[in-house]
Amino acid sequence: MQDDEIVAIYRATIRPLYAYVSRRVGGDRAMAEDLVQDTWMRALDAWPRRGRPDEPLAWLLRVARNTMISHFRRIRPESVDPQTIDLEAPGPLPDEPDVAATVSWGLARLRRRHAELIEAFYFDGKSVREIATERSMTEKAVEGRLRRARAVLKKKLAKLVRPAGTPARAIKERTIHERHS
Amino acid sequence: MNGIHEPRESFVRALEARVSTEISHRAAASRLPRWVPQSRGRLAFATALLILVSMAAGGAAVSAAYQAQSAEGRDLLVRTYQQRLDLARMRLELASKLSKSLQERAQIGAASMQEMQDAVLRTRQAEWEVQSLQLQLDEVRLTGVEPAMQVSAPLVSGRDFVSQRWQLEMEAQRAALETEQLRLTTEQRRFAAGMSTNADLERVRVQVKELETALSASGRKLDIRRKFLNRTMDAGLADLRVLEVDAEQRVETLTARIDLSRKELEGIKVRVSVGQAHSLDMAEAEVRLQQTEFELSKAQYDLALIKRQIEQRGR
Repeated sequence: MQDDEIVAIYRATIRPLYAYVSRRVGGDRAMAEDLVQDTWMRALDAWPRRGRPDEPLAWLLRVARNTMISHFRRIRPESVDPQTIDLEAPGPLPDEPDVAATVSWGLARLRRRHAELIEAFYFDGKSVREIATERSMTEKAVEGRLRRARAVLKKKLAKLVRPAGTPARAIKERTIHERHS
Repeated sequence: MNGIHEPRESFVRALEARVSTEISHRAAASRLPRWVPQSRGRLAFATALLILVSMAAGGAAVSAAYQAQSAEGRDLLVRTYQQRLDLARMRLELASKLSKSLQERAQIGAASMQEMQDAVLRTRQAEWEVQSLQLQLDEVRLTGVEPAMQVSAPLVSGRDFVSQRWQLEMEAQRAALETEQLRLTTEQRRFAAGMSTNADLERVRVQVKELETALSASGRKLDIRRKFLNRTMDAGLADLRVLEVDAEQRVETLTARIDLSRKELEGIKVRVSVGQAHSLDMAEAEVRLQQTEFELSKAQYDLALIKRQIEQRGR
């Protein structure tokens, strides 16, 4: 594999890769940069041994996603009360690192098919119609799956809720919608 | 697209440069046959150069590394830890040489067994320092930030760096305790033969006691870490429990030191009364005792505060 070929792939993919990661960490620049760099170092380890993948961007996104899942399985976010996150919101989540960390913590504990659907809707800002077209499903089926995925996510996030009476260091009382407006 | 999801141009350029460098390094490494021996002279020169550069960069590099959060910062931090590790390896080499030389001198009676034991301990401590820095470097490479020291730090890529570091610390404490126990035995023999004073013996006893307390505290902290990882203790409580262990250790250590200071003061008073010591020595000993008593009061206050916070969490 030629060196300049890798650099060309880097130039073609760095922006979509960064945007993908950044949306999932709520725009936390330091974390996004670390994750993107980590992803590229993994690529440089893997590609010379296994050969360049047919779809480098898809490969990079998948590795970045796995790295994020691994990261969010290790941490326990505490700065946002998950009860204040409005998962019934009709659009994407606002770009707030604390909110993204809390939701990503829950997503890292969901089945992949549920997590990917929620990510597409809340992080990538895709509409139900777009998701349905991409996955060759009906809009109704996507809505149904989203509903079930949300329910599972809420259950997972409930585990993050502090017991009553515990001092809340930085619980944010406003809902996401209030913050958005 | 929302602007905050666009990468900074400086980051894009820096990472591209890093990618290009990595490619060339890996290509060069794959071209070099593994059986080719490394030139010792060049290796020594490179090591010396690295140390000189590290010393020149000095504090500036370290302080910058502490602030490192970004991708560029990660490289700086890794370099800083690599330099620290190189220096620790040099210290180990030096300690090994000194230890070997003392062993040779001890064999011909030119050095005491205690001196030899001390040298062996210093070598082992240098080994642990190397191992500990290697762990810190591994962690920095994985996380890109300073190694996490608190008990509630998460695992990093499945590795428990905090426990590994504490285990190393325990090994170092255990070895130091063994050496001090040997010193105590020697001191007891010397005291019985009238070659040393009761105060000398007491000082070694206090040292042994302090090391025993430190070893026990490290064991308790490891236990708290295990509970935190098993999720039988939450992060906040685990942090408080470790603070409690540290404060208790401090109280025990200072209590033992106060006993020693009192005995020393009594001894000086006797010597002053028979004209063998100056009253200034007595005043100094009194000040030392008062300072230690003040530190103990502060440590007891800290401990009480921590215990109250733990109680409040339990309610």
